[in-house]
Amino acid sequence: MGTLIARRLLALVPLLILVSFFVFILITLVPGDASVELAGGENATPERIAEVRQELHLDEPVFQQYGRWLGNAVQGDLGHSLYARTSVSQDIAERLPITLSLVAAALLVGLLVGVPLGILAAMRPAGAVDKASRFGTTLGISIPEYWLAIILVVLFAVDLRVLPPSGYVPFFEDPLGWLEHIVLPAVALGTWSAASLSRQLRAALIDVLDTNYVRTAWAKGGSTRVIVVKHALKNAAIPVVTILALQIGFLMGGTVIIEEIFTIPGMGPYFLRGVISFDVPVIQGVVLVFVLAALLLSTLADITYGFLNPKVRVQ
Amino acid sequence: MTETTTEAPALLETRQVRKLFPLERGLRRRVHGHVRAVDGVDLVVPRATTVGLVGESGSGKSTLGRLVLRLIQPTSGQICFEGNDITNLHGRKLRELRRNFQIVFQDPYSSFDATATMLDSLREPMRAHLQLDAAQQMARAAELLEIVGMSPEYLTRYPYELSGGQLQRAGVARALSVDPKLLILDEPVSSLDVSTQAQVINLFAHLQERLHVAMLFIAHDLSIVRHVSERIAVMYLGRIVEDGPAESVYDQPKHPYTEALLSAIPVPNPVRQRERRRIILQGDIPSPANPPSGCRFHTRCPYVMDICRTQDPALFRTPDGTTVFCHLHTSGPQLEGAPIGDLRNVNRPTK
Amino acid sequence: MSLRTDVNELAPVAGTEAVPTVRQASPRRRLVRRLAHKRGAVLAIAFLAVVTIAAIFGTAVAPYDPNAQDILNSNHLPSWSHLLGTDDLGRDILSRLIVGARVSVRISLQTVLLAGLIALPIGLVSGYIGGRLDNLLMRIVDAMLAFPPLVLAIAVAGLLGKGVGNVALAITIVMVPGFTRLVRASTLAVKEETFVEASRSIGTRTRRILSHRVLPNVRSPLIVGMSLAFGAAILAEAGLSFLGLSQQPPNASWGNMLRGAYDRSLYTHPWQLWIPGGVIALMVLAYNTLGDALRDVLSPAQWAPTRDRRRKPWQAWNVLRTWRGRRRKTRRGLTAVTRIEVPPMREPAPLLGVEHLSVEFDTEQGRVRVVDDVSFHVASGEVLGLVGESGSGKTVTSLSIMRLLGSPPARIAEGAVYFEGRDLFALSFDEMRALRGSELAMVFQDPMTSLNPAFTIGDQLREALRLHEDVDRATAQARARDMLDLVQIPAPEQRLHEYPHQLSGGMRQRVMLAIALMCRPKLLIADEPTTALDVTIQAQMLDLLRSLQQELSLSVIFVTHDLGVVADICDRVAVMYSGQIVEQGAVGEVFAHPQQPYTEGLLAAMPQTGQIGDALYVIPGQVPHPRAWPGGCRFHPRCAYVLEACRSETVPLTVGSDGATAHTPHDVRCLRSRELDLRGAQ
Ligand SMILES: Nc1ncnc2c1ncn2[C@@H]1O[C@H](COP(=O)(O)OP(=O)(O)O)[C@@H](O)[C@H]1O
Ligand SMILES: Nc1ncnc2c1ncn2[C@@H]1O[C@H](COP(=O)(O)OP(=O)(O)O)[C@@H](O)[C@H]1O
Ligand code: SF4
Ligand code: SF4
Ligand SMILES: [Mg+2]
Ligand SMILES: [Mg+2]
Repeated sequence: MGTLIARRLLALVPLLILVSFFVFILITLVPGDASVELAGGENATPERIAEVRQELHLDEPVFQQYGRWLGNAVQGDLGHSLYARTSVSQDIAERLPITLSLVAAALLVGLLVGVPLGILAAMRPAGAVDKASRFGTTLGISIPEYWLAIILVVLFAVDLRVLPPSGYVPFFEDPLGWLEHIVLPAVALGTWSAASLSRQLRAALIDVLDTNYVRTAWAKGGSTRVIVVKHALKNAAIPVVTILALQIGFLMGGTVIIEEIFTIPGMGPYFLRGVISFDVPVIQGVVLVFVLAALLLSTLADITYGFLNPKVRVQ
Repeated sequence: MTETTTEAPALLETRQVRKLFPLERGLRRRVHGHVRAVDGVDLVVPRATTVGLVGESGSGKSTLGRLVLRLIQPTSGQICFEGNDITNLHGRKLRELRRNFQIVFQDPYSSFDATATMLDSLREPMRAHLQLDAAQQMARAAELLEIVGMSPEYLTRYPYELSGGQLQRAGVARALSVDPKLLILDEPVSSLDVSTQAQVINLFAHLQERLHVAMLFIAHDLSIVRHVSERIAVMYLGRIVEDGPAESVYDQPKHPYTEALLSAIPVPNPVRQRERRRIILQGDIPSPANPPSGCRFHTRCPYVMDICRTQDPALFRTPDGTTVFCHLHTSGPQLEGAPIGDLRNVNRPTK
Repeated sequence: MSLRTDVNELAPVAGTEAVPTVRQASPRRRLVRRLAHKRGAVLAIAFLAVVTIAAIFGTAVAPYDPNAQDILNSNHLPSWSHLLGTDDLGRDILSRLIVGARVSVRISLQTVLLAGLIALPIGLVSGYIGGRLDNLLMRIVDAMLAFPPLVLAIAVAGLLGKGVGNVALAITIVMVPGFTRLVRASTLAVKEETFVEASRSIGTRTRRILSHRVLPNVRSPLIVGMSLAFGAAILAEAGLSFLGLSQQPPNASWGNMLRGAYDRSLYTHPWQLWIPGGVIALMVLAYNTLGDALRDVLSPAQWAPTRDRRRKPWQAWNVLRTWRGRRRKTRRGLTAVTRIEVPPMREPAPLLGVEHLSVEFDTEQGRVRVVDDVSFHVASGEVLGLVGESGSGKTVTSLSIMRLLGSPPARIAEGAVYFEGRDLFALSFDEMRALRGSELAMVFQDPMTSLNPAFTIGDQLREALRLHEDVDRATAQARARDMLDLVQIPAPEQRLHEYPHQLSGGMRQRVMLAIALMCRPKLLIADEPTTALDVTIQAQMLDLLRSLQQELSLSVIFVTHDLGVVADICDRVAVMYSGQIVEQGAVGEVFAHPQQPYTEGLLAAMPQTGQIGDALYVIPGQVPHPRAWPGGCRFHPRCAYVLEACRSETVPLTVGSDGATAHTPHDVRCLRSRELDLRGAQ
């Protein structure tokens, strides 16, 4: 198991280098002379252009720029925002926990709803629960989360007035307030996660329930609970864990819009301001942090996968 | 070609061919060993003759077949076709050579593309090797189906519309479509039912008589190959341990492994089956990644002697043309080419 | 001599094979037909067609100018003049929706098709050629896939500059790696198929293999993936529009309509939020429904529908068709019983008596009976061989006894099984469960897949015991160890802690046997336990089974297709053909003096018989599919002794008296058994 973890972590290294390079070369997407564009486009002053060019070292060859940027990034320095002049690393450090807590809450919703639903549907394929959940989950993966978020706001904040329509309270200041503020965004974001998780789990479970070893378990005299909870679930969890890792990436993307709608001061609004104003260091920093977080979490999923699957664990 | 024989070269001859599959481990795919799938095999298939190749699964039969077809590259050794070394042919030359060899696989269903009609599949070799127009291809495909006992109506069918036995015959038709000189049959009847199996076995015997094509008939069951083979080669852990005329190998095995294989096949006669002397080999076939020292069979051989554990047995040629690799013929209770059965008087095996 | 052994007669000649009567429609037609049967898919296609047409004609079909403001008529509810009402600037919502569809439809088509077009060749070549190139490409793909897709799309679209074109580019970039992955994975799978190796050995050029063998087989997953991606593209574009990065106001897109309503009418006119959001959701729903339907229709199992002889009989829980008819409440793990009468138990009662068992499957082509009026018994301490070619119903029969067949589609239509006097078909799930594994045990054919890969051998052995006996873990562990010892597994202590994949096939089958014997059952059903093993390992296994059977005085039903194995281990034998028992009796009797032509043929066709060089005896034709069982004697199309009567008369099983009467010493199903002098084992 130890070597498995070491191997997975080691496998990250080349991936990280490639990923960071992709993040860096995002800047080359800017059409025309980047320094002009970044300094404000047509109404940029020559001083400002020179300033931007100097700050981002745009005169140097790309690889040299990348090397410098990476070197700084490794030390935790992601540069400064071109406008606010604040440190990007610091800005992100303030916002990342908020976004991650939203992702975690959404994932929790996904697991709490998706897993039982998937199991129930798989127990009796084509039964009433299955049919209803099939319809519900297809709907769940089709509804845009931002629309769902707005509808939830209209229902619970505007009409019923039971929950706040927007805003955020840090967990450690006021756990109850945090919960009140996080419920709607988490549900909006987690609905998709729950629907897709339950579909995947259902499919995986049905496959597993059709395997020869499950037949063996029936033949031994296993009860439905033993079969589903012990024999099937552990095996079905193996493919589902991989999917969970993918979901994390999708959920992170989703937070950008959700945070914007609920005015949660996470990475989303910060990122969007950066994008709208061509603030390249901000964009690079946010994308890099997002991708690092996603990679780390999916590595974690990979390790869990190895833990669940003896074929990987015991060689 | 330093041999001084005056005979024409054999159709196919392998010389000490070896195929090692690397075992990789870890992130950097470090090679930490090799599966010695085929480990120094000399095999001769004369023209228009059927050679049976038998052995337990994992003994390297399919790998040898694929080596001969040049689907995989040998690690070392030579493969000669009609006296020419074809070990390193590639590109167009190799494609042209392929006309001479065709193969029929074990699983009839997966050896046909489910999205293609039978005509499409039967035409494929013709398209690669013969200059025929569409009508000629169609006519030939129909004729081939008739040769294997099927109605030409099947040409428009998809594989899943045919039974396993029919597909296997269509597989033979496909292989025959370019008049190959050598057919490699990789367990062609193993997945078929008893009655269908007999049909296909007889088809091979019939084709052999009619078309004079040479065959390398791979099977794990000695009783199947003996019906069609002139010679039988027995393989164990990547090596051929006995190779001789079919009757001799079947009726008077010279190698303990051959004897054990034969004795393991139950005969469908309760009286005879229950009074037969059976040799039950202990344990599984060892891993080809780590074959035993000396004679590779020594871990399971009922006649094992001290010398077997350390020394590789040398080739021994019996008067009837059988070659065998076993110390029993040269040391210990010297058999000198006599069948293993004779040993029973000398040295009863433990089990 | 009554056997036909003339070689020329045996050699297959043109025309000996009847062409199957059931002709399948071409794959494409069948695909369309299956799709047409799916209501959701049809609705989805219709909806998509309407939206696409509206998008194509855009302003031409829009009732108003979508950008024309009319402040006096702002925020109208739907009415006849404005079917979907107007927005806060008085613009007609329907018209804006129609031109907005243009953006969504265009983006989805453009991005998905382009991404597919780029990914297809890369994935194909990378997967097929492999090696360094593949390694490099997949590293890049992995790195791109590590990005949260929407984040990457926002960054790329933002940096390229606002606008629909740039958004399309961004979405395409995000999609390419996923598609490449998909195509490559499918290519790798197809590449391993024997038919590709066949093409290579034939000498077909690589390019042609790729285009004619790999591509058609990779197409299906790609089509499914693409149809699901359409929905994802629409969601992404609308999201970017919502954030103000795509279509710029005043020009309409669904995303910016939603944004407008959110920004300006959330508290005042919330109904305006429903329309654009609903349309986006419907559109995505339609694509997802279509994708799901295509996945069902294009799956390889659907591709080859008539191969159900290769389908495992109990693997059918998930057949989505439910069946009507007399149906008792059924549940997972218990075969449904729909019999009307309960046949009586035979006297004297044997350990197990199967009486007039018939089993049916409800399939897409209708109801088929696969086991038909099967009766046999097993006495205490006796080994009964159940023998027949594949598809004759041996597995279905054995699973019915355990009631392990999946319902639907299987159900027990007639008959009874008495075990120690109890009718198993009258038991509840819990009663049946208490018997399974304790009194009745089963060993299956495939040792490689019959053990749970996620649990240790010890766990699986202990479970077998603890499901039925109240023992603590340590006792169970000790019993498990002893049992491994009993089935002659070396180093049992160590094996207990190992996982199935660490064991060889022969060892796994021993473990299966150990599991079955954990509770000392009275009856063991072994369904082809040695078929997957090598002959040498089979000999070990038979040896072990024989000694255990005697030691524990077990009763065994030994299912096999190998008459040699029957001769080795069985006391009595029942020969099955096309769902019926055609001959049944003591092994010595049946083998020495078969009374039924099929038994004679099977014996003669065994490759162990006959001399080298002689042609084998051949039973012409093939086992008929249960849907195509012939009338009269089911064996008549293949029988060498067929008479006119055989074609029309139903042939009953004549019950013999095991050696008492001269003519039918055992049970036989043949009109001519008395007059024929058939040849037995040699
Ligand atoms: N492509 C491969 N890579 C690694 N090992 C292989 C490969 N092909 C075959 N082997 C190994 O080579 C040995 C011989 O296999 P094979 O030739 O298929 O045996 P047989 O046909 O006699 O059953 C087996 O141990 C098998 O696992
Ligand atoms: N799930 C299923 N759906 C439809 N038909 C089935 C199913 N399972 C098995 N059958 C049919 O039942 C027949 C008997 O199968 P089986 O008992 O497995 O035969 P055997 O064990 O003798 O080889 C076969 O013809 C097969 O087509
Ligand atoms: S050399 Fe020795 S171990 Fe090998 S087969 Fe002969 S007697 Fe047995
Ligand atoms: S009843 Fe007629 S067709 Fe059937 S087995 Fe007997 S002789 Fe043959
Ligand atoms: Mg093989
Ligand atoms: Mg079966």
